[in-house]
Amino acid sequence: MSTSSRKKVLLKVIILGDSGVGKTSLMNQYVNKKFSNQYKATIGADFLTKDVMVDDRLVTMQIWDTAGQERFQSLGVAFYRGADSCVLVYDCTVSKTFENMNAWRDEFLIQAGPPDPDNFPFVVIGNKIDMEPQRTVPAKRAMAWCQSKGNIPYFETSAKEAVNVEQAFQVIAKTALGKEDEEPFIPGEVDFGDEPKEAKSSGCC
Amino acid sequence: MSSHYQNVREYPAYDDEENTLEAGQTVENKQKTLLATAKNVVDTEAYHMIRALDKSLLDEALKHSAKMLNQLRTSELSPKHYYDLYMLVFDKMRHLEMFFSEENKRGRRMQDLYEVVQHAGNIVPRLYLLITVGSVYIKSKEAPAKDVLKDLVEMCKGVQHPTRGLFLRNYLSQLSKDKLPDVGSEYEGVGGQVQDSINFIIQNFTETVHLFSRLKNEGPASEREKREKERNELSILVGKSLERLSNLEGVTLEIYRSMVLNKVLEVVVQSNDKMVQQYLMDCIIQVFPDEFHMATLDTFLQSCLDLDQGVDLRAILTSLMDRLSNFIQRRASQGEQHDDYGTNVVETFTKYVDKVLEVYAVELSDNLLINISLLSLSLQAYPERTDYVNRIITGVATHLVDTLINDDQVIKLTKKVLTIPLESYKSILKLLDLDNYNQVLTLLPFEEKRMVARQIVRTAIKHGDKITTVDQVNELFELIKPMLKDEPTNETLAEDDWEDFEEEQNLVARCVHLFDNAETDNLFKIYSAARKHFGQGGVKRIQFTLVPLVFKYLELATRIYQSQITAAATPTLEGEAPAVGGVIKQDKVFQYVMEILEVLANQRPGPALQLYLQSALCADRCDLEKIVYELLSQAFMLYEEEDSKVQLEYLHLIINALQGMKHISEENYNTLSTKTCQYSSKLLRKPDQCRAVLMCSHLFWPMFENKELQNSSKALECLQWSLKIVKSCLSNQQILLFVEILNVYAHHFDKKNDKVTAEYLNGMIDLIFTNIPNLEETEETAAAPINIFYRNTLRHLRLRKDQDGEMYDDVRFTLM
Repeated sequence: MSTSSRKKVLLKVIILGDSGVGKTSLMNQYVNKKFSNQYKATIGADFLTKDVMVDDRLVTMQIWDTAGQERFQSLGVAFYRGADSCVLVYDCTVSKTFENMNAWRDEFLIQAGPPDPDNFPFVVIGNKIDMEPQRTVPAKRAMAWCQSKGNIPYFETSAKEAVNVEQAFQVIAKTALGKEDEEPFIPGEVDFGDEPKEAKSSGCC
Repeated sequence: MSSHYQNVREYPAYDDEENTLEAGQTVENKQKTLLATAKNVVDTEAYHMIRALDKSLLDEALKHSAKMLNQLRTSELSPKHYYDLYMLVFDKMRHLEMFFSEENKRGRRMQDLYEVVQHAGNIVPRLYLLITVGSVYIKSKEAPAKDVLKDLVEMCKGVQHPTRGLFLRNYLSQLSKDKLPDVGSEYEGVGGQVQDSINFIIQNFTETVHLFSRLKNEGPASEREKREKERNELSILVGKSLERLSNLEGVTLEIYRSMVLNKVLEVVVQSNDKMVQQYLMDCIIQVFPDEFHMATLDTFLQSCLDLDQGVDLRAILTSLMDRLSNFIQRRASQGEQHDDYGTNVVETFTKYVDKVLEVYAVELSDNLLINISLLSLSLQAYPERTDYVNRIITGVATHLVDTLINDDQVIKLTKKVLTIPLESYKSILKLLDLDNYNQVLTLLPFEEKRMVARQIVRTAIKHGDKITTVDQVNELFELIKPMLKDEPTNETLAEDDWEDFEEEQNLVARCVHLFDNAETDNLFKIYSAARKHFGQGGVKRIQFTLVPLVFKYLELATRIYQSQITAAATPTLEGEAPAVGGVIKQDKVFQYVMEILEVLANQRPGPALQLYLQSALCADRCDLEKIVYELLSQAFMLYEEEDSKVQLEYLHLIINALQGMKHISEENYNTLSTKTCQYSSKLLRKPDQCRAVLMCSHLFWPMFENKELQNSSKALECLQWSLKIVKSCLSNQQILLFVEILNVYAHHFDKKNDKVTAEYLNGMIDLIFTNIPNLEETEETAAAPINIFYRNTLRHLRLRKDQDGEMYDDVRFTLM
């Protein structure tokens, strides 16, 4: 498939986490360099794209921001499919949001169903470190969790003050690209030849 | 009002609720097969499309893309499965979009492409293609963004099937969102103004609301429930437009107020669709910032009243109130100023809450939920305005008054109404100002009342509230009545609850320490009011509650006495009346003490005896001879009735109290000390007798507090008497008693009792020394501690000799 090398690389990144942890803010800070203190809920899922250089390669990141509130995700999470990386975000001033990380990770692995779940690239972000005095989740605790889940890269950020946001997304892009390299062919291309026939026959039954 | 919307569990949802499990599985399997087949076609056509794109064969690529997009024409898939398919197509379409972009860079005019794709045969593929080209068209800036957007949103009218239409419009929304003319965006200016974007989004929004509402009436009536569930799933496709509006930079508060909110509300209200209304009101609350809500409260709340019957207004109201409460709290924690919200949020909400409660048949639990949110908001926004809290609680009281509270949910919520102000106020005194607080509290079942009462007391103690008037005492004790008094209905205390009960009564007892007033008369009245309440508590409570009160009375008596002494010592100016202090004098206070002690004596003689002694000491300090005598007589009477096992211990206390007397007359003292000696000699066990008589020697020497009561001969008599008693004790008890007696002799000698000479000490030492060998022949284990005791005693004497020298010259240590 000589054609694939010509193609621009598209990386799909999903941002997950509880309502109000700052998923949208992180994405807006990274993509648009903007921050607003106002809380606005996200409905459904939406992406923004950003072109970045990773190890001398130009890649397009398609960053999916998601609704933290269950009732605004009523159509399900079909958009998880094909994700190259998943960012788990919590608010370091609200312990509950950290405790829910397990659930978000499990939920992602179940719904997205990546072929090698143990090695799927996650990145963890503890946001709102500008509110350090109110911190309830110690960095140590978060790092221990990340280590226990197979050394997930961990970042502490402030979307408000643009601290560490760029660095975190750079690593996100890298991990996602690593995954992309493992599967250089787009799905369907590999099995093409017998797939349609098989599908048609199964359709008849 | 029902809250069915809130209760629907939307995610993750598995479709097995409305059918039997088996039927549900069949449906689900069929759906899966349909989806798999469709996806297969999409994958295949996408493959061909991409291959064609790689070879730059546009017509070929378009042909395959149309076939791929054709899969989205299905009516068979449930919303979730359709979404799955849509997402797959969405991903594939990015290739086409990228190709269009590259074509554009190579110089192809987008307007031509825009024409070309319109040749697709079917409307669904045609519009998806058109939107895809349109998005690149806008990016190319060949035409103003606003014109392309307007064209696209108009064209979408061609799809009127609800599900297909909603997804198509979602595609339009997704592809256009970063190409909207907006303040600061690259499409502003020639591309249009933010107003164009607002119009575009609202038009798309309005159409989605229509499509969504239409879905309600499609298909057979029997499948209504299933359709409502599907609608619920699709609702985010409608709500999404509101998020788009909210994300426009150009939608400032002014623009929101003048151009956005009214139009949105109009569409919502006119939909005449309960689900749409419920959902979208919630979306408005959630997607627009708090500052906007603050500034447009009236408009929003007014439109709530125009919604269809059956919309859960409770959910909408509480959701907005809670959101604003959090906002105000957040702002306060960041140090921003209070009270200036541009509008009085509490009064505005109150106005509409009143209307809602008046016009609609609101269930009691919903009523309480609304009031709880209003209460929290009020305490958050205007913590000083007790009148708001008062009003809310009065309202709750009115609604509850005719209801027998036996519903668990109502009980829980009513409790919350009561505890929210408690948790918010840093004092319970404000609570006492609320007119109907107690009325609401009274409506709760006994145990619940008791729990609230405990929380009230804990709060008061935690914050160190000062109760300064009789009224406050009465009000507080009225609130915590369940802790003070049994109710006819509550059952007798189970044994396991005793610890709990004890803890509770200790809490009540601690209330006594909250009483505070600079005037002794007032304090007296406060204590007496408390006494009245405690008196109703019954036997099991007064032992906890009355004891601290006795100490408070004693403290008060001392304070009155002290102030008199101070006043007498202060010289007054001529013609000026001397400071008199309060009307209540110390003897009056003691009358109350005696009354309380009498009550206690009947129930708990032991502690009462101790309190009599304590009170006697205090009365002695206040120079109240008669009362001292009276109190001690009472103590003696209790002593006589006590069990012999504890009598020695009580004698200890009596002797201690007596030797601490300062102002008592010699005559009274003689009577009391003689009586004490008699008690001592009458104890049942000989060793007890011996020890008690020995201790009685302290009743006569050294009497530091009042040396006039010293009597060295009587002291010596006691010592000798005790020695005599030893002789009638068992031999194995004697040696220890000897050593104890030696110690007391030594004490008297040291305190310079003139009758206790070195001879006596030497005699005792000899006596013990001759008995020690006997001792060593008996059990060693028993002997060892006595030996040590004896040696320590001698070591002490030697030490005293080293320090004081001369007076110890005659004490012989040679025998040791």
